[in-house]
Amino acid sequence: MTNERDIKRRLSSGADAEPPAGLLEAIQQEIPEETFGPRITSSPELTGSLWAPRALAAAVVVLAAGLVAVGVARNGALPESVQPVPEVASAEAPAEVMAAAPANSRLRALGYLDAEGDSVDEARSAPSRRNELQGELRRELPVEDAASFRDAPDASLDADAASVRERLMERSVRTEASPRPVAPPAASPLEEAATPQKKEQKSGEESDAEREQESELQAKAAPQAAGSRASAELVPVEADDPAEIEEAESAVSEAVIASMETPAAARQVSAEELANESAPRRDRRRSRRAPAAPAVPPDSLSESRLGAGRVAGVETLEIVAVAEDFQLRARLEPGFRLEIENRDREWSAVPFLRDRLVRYDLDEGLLGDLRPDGVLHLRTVTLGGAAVAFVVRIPQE
Amino acid sequence: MTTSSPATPARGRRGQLVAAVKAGDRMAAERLVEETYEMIFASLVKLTGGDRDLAADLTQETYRRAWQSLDRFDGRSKFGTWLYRIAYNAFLNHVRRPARIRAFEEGEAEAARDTAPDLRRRFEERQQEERLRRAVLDLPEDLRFAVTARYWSGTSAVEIARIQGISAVAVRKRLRKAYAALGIALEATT
Repeated sequence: MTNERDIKRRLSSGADAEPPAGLLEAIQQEIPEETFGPRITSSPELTGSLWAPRALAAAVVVLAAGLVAVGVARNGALPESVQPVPEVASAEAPAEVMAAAPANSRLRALGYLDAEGDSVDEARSAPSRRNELQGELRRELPVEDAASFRDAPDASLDADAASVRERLMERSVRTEASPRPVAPPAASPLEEAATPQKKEQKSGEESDAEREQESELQAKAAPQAAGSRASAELVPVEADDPAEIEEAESAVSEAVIASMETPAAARQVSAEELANESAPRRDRRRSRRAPAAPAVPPDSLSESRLGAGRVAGVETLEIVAVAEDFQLRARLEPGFRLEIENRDREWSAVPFLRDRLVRYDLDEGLLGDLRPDGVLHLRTVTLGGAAVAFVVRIPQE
Repeated sequence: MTTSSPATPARGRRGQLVAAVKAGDRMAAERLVEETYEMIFASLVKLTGGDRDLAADLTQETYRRAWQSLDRFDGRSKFGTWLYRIAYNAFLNHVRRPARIRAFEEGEAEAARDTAPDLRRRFEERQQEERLRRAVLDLPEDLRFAVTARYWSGTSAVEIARIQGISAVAVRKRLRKAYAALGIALEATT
């Protein structure tokens, strides 16, 4: 007989399993808001605003300013990189110093401006337009040109000014000839007043618009793909009407068979579209589900087959009857999963997944709907009124 | 005869955390989940015989129930022990459900596709583990909880006593009875 020590050893053996990635996040997301308040997050996606990046940028600016201030306080001077450009004392300054000096400083050194920046000699100095041109020259010309300008004789200033004007005109022409970005149409005052609010609402409106667009697309796609399966469109059946349940069961088999004829293009559906359809309970698993291991061929039960077919993501799908029970078996392609939701009964509220080979026994009436987007919806309606929906969908990741 | 052990309020940092959670502090709740979910998941993996998906589902179910009944946590036991009790009940509820969901025989599937040279040995080990698990699950409720809490959740006999409202001596008696019952069960299935 197995002794106590051996039992203890066997009970204690085995390493603890590591939780799947995403489980912690899924649990934390389920912490009820009504008790603990909304979850705090800084994600712009979740908050619908851009306050976090802006706050970060503002913090960086404040930090940089603070660092400069600290540097000044410690060293008594600004760092070298932010030192002001020195004034030029005389016209004898080296060309590079002169070129780097502010325009007014340079003109003062050259004797054209007094300490207040006014022209000292109307006869020698050019009209006020000259000052403007010189300022433009300071901004526009490279260093070498500025140095040659300094060395020019007084009499040639007008000529230089004319030359500068010509060069500026050339630049202007070149600039106009180059393509310019198209400016948005001017907004009316009313529109301008509404702009900030519009910006705030933009993300929400965009997502609403996208959803509406997707709904429209799906609505448009439905008739196109529904041609071959028109007979598969199902209507709710009262649970206490056995005749209608039986009719619905045969309709389900039609729906699954019809899925083989559904054009592949009609079954293409984006993860985003599917995400919009997903219920919160399904969402919590999406992040932590990894593609399952390779499947094993289903065993061969003797049963009467009601229907078999193929939909996107499902390698095989069979609805079979074993005695009085129905059984749904599906083998999923990698990256797909079969999710089951029971709307009324607590015991099967947890979506069900078993690797890629899934079996689910149904002993009640069956309703189903294979949508043209490739999402399979099967639903059982129990005599007690509980409904179970089967959904094959593409994982978001 | 069983005697109730005196109620001992949870103390220390974990006690403060639990108090903050009961006061509605979301950050504290998230922190508490962080500190406990690995233990809950690991114990559920053992209860479910290595079914990680099911264990993950039941772990989520455990916390859902915990938030709902947080007001009833009186601090008599440690929070982790109380949480394990909920996880254990969630597991039992799962296995007691109508047998309409039939799990695929994962052990057989792995064996069928595993071409490693030590396939036979690993398969036998898995069979032994599964026999032990089934024997544990077949124990009477009082013995079963004591064994799983002690070995699959790492709960001390004293803590088990607190949450069960019995003495530590009674817990140890239950464990000894469980060892004997498991020995007989394993002999019978070998």
